[in-house]
Amino acid sequence: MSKRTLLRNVHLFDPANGHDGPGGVVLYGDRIVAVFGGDSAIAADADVVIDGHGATLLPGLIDSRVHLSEPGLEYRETVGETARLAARGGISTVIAQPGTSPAIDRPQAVFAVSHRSMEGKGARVATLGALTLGCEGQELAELGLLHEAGALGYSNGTRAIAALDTISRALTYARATGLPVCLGQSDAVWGQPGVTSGELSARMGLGGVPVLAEVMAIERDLRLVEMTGVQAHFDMVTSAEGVAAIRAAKARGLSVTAGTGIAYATLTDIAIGDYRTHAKLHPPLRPDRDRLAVVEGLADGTLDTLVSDHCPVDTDHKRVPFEQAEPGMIGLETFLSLALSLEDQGVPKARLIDALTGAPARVFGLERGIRPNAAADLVLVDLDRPRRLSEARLHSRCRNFNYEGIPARGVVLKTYVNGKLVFERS
Amino acid sequence: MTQSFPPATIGYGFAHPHLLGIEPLKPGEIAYLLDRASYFAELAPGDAPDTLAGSTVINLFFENSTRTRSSFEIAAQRLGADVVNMDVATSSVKKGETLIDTADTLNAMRPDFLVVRHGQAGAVKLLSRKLDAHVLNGGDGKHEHPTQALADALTIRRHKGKLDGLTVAICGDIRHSRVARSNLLLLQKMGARVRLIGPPTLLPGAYETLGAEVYHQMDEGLRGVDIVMMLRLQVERMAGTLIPSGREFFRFYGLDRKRLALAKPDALVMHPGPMNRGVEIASDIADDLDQSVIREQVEMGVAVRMACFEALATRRAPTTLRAA
Repeated sequence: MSKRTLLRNVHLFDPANGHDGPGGVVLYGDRIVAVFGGDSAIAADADVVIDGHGATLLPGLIDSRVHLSEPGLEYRETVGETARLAARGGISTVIAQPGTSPAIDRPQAVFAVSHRSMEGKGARVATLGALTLGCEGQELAELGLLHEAGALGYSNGTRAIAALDTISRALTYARATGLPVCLGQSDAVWGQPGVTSGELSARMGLGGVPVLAEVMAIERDLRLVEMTGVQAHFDMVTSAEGVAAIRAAKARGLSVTAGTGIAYATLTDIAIGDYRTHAKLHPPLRPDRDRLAVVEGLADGTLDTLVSDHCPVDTDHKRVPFEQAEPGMIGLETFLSLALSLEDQGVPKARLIDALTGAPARVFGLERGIRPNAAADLVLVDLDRPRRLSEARLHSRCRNFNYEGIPARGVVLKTYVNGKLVFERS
Repeated sequence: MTQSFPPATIGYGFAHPHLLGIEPLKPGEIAYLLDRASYFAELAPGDAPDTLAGSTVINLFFENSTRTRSSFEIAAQRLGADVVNMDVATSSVKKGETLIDTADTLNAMRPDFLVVRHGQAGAVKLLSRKLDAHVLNGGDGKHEHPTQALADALTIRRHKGKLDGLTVAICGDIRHSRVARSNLLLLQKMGARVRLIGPPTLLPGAYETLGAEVYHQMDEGLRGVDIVMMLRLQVERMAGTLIPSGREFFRFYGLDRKRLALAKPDALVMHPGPMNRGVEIASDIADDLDQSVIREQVEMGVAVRMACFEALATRRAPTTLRAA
């Protein structure tokens, strides 16, 4: 028998549903059954009453770009661990990329991931399906069957599809499923991956990838979206020209969405200085002008979504010469704090929370929001409590972390998924 | 033997020197061919007139075919013609001869009819320009396959009594199907409504400009149709490129009981063959004698081909006004 849980004395923050003020919610089963303002309803019939002590209640965060290590690299992080780390970070839904090993290119793989994620307490782990078999860019994956198995959209992982006939057929076919396709991936075959070519790469003796690789990928894919009519999400726009291309496409009425990774809004290629392999990412970190454009894109809504792009890489694959290092950084546990830091750079709080909740929900067809009868995916956060980001406080097995010692704010107190408390700060 | 035209043919005619496609035919000409075919279909094989006696028919098939070639062969023989099958696989074509040179060579042998199947659209038309014989298109690339469309139309007419006013769904690999194109043209000329159903990769939106209704969801497309026409999927050539796999295709575009129930209760199921059971059509439907007319399509194939040979041999101008 389900219990009625009353969460009272919280600050409701969900501008999309008209909430920004004190109030509370009542949860029953996996649903929100009542939302009230002020402290009027001390709902006598609640079985459990939780006092939020004035902390902020947000819709559960959706991190729509996470790289699973399972299957293939379970020693780095299992699906269950990813789910638990996400819950610690206030994330109630993780949308995983299909580029695992083997790739999530068959319906059985979608079932397997969702089954593994339910074994412990943590965030819900949904997946995108691979656009092509093995994300190899050759043969179409079973897009319709992946959809039926529960994939929320398609992606080709971190790999671009170079052949125009393959990508155009894939998008033409995907259109019939109605699911979004993540596009705009720049391939890692132009130049030396890991750093943007420019002053820094020249100084360091690293070849680098021209920023044009991303701009051209985005512009090509925008044309293909126009031709095929597929629903497209450019989930990793990391350059000034990339943001401009998306802005122009939206201005001329193309129905596309876009997003970026938290690293591209908070770090620049300076982080690579001294050959720090943790700052080797794909796409590579950019100069500050690109970062500023990304932040501006988030602020004005050109970039709808913000993701952690969480990608655990173990020491053996990071403590090597820069050129040999695997790209990627972890980010689930510090996602919300880093996102909140963008408020100081001009991204309005409502826009920020939308980029972490409402926007990804709209792109991937999920329900989200603090309103009666919605799924009880919620996160209780002390938005103003300061914290110092530190590797020592992380629970992740992999330590490819880029924010050591950075002051931030925002501490996750409780995370609810489907009405279940999956994380509680002790 | 007398040429027996039933009275119904007064006012009809067929004046074309070749049968290259459905596109150049007028509704009256199609009706004429179907009427004659329907007459042949009722005849015992031995009772057919020997209209083609003394004529030579060459079957020139650049692509493999079993049913179409033997159907043309049987049709010509029933009308008394001598039939030669050119085995292109061992012929001079494989030795590098151009299509035009092949045409010249054949022309020197003075055939009366040439039945051609070729892998490229327009090749049959090219031959027809170079030859003195009547050329019949046995399928050219992704362009047309007129005798198959006529056989399908005759099969439908025998069951439904008419073509006009019917709604016909053509499902599957529309893009590569000459059968689909010829059927679309013929059915529209005869007043039927045609819906095309397939995944976007196998059904380009441009088909809407040809006057068809395009559906990418099979359930929607099948609702209330009189005829469900399935097409062969060349799954071995396509898996991975235009569709992901045979099993996915069957899941979304295969004809099974549940889907067929969306069509009218007395809907006919057709397939030009050869079938991929479990890819585009479930076995129990293909074998269902109440709804499936797949075998009858083959039978009608011979009758319409007899009608086509006869029409070309006797070439009558339309007599509408003169008869009146």
